Amino acid sequence: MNPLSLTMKRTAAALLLLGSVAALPEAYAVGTAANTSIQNRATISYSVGGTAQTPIESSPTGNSVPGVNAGTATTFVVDNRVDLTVTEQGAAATVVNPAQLAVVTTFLVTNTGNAAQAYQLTAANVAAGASLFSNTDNSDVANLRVFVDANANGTYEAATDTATAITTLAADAGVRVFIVADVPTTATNLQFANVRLTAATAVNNTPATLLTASTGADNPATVEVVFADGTSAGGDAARNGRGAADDQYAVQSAALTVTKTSAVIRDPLNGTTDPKAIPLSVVEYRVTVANTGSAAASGVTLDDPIPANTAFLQNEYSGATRDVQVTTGTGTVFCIAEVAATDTNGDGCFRPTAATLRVLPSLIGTVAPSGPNSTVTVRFRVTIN
Amino acid sequence: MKTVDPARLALSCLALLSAGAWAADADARRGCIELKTVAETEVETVDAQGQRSLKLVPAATVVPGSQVVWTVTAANVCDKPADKVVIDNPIPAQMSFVPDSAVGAGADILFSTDGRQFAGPAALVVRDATGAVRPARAADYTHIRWSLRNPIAPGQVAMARYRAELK
Repeated sequence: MNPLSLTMKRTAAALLLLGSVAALPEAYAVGTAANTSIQNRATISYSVGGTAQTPIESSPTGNSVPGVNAGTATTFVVDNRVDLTVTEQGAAATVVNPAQLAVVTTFLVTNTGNAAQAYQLTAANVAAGASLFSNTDNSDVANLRVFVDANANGTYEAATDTATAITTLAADAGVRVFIVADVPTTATNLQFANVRLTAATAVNNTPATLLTASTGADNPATVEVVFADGTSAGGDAARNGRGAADDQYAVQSAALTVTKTSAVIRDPLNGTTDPKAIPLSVVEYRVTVANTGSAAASGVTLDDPIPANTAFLQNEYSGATRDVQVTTGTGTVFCIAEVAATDTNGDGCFRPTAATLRVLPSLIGTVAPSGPNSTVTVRFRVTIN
Repeated sequence: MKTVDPARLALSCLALLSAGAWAADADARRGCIELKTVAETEVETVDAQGQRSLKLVPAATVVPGSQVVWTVTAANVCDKPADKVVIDNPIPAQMSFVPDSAVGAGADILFSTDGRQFAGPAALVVRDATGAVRPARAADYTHIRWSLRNPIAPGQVAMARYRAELK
């Protein structure tokens, strides 16, 4: 068996933008808006000595002046109930290729509180071992960034979606947020990288300042901040003004296997009947490239040094006019392997040296992960010296 | 949040007491009842022995879903009993009545879904969006009425209380 070398580059599979056209979920009932003044005034009617008296209205401190509007409403101001949800969009992993840049996962941040808020956003890799979409995290992505879907179209656009924090989000409103990352060149087929988006509630229109829950005695003049959020992904505690959710990148790559077999075609004594491998016999090499990965391989170049003690034999195929036969799922093609620095006749194969055969991507085509194009067979013949 | 200042409240009570009891018609500017509405919330406190107890404090932190205890007190500040006492309280529009939370010693408690027709819970009905009539639920109540069976004697205080949840 002779050494073979294969070079390939990965096909950039179409990036799946998950849930990009799904409508925002229906608004949540978040209740009475913060800073609303709730007013209450009772009225009493009564008689004294059998004579009906003018009704009296209540006041916070007690009113005994009869008559309409003589009382004062007892009031309180509705406080700021901080609540949010962060949800993964699309309910499936984003399929990526090794070395792919700016791969996107999509989240929805929804303000379920009763006042407009800002949010700080952070993206992070999830520790290995976490399961999502029935896949277990076993790798990380690099260069994690987070961007807000500025034009609310659900699609990450580098030129448009540049904000890295949510400046203001009204009660009941939601906005999509993207995690954008790069896949390491070392990523391999069927690796999974979970990522987590965390949103932290900040002062409305001032995302740099995180909101803090009010503590201590009530101040009658201010709207208190009450964190009401529940727990979420990654052990995010309840009532901390934060929410988180996980999404996943699924790495799909081509995995090529190369098999080389040989068969004696004819020998000078027996011809084609039970030929033996003796000097001047003709031997055919069959190199089969198969893709057992998950992504198509394109740009596959096959280099095969002609074994020592043999000589490349020309004009063995296609009516004794061609040197190499390439069989793919779409059919069989032939080429002439001229000795040249480049493929001077432009037919897809040549010999950089007399003893090296090179078959170019133009003949091999894309090696698919399944189906008829998942194997490519290259045949050529030599004579034994 | 606006709350009742207990100190001021005590002072105003003292002032009323020191002014003495009014005759029913002695002061045209004053009635015989002093009516007060207080908003409070319930907080759990733990004492030194670790005993937990619920305590009413002036409504401090109220967010959607919070319950507020509304307390209406009617003090007879005259020297004659007040009878046929009826206390009406519209439930704030942003709040919904908590079922079975209305109390009032010696009072018949009635409810209304429109502020005009008052009845006991079993007799109240509302029309839903399709025009069908169904029994009223606590959340449908808009008004509460306490009809006191007994007079409020001079110097006595009647109390009416209910709980409502902020929508």
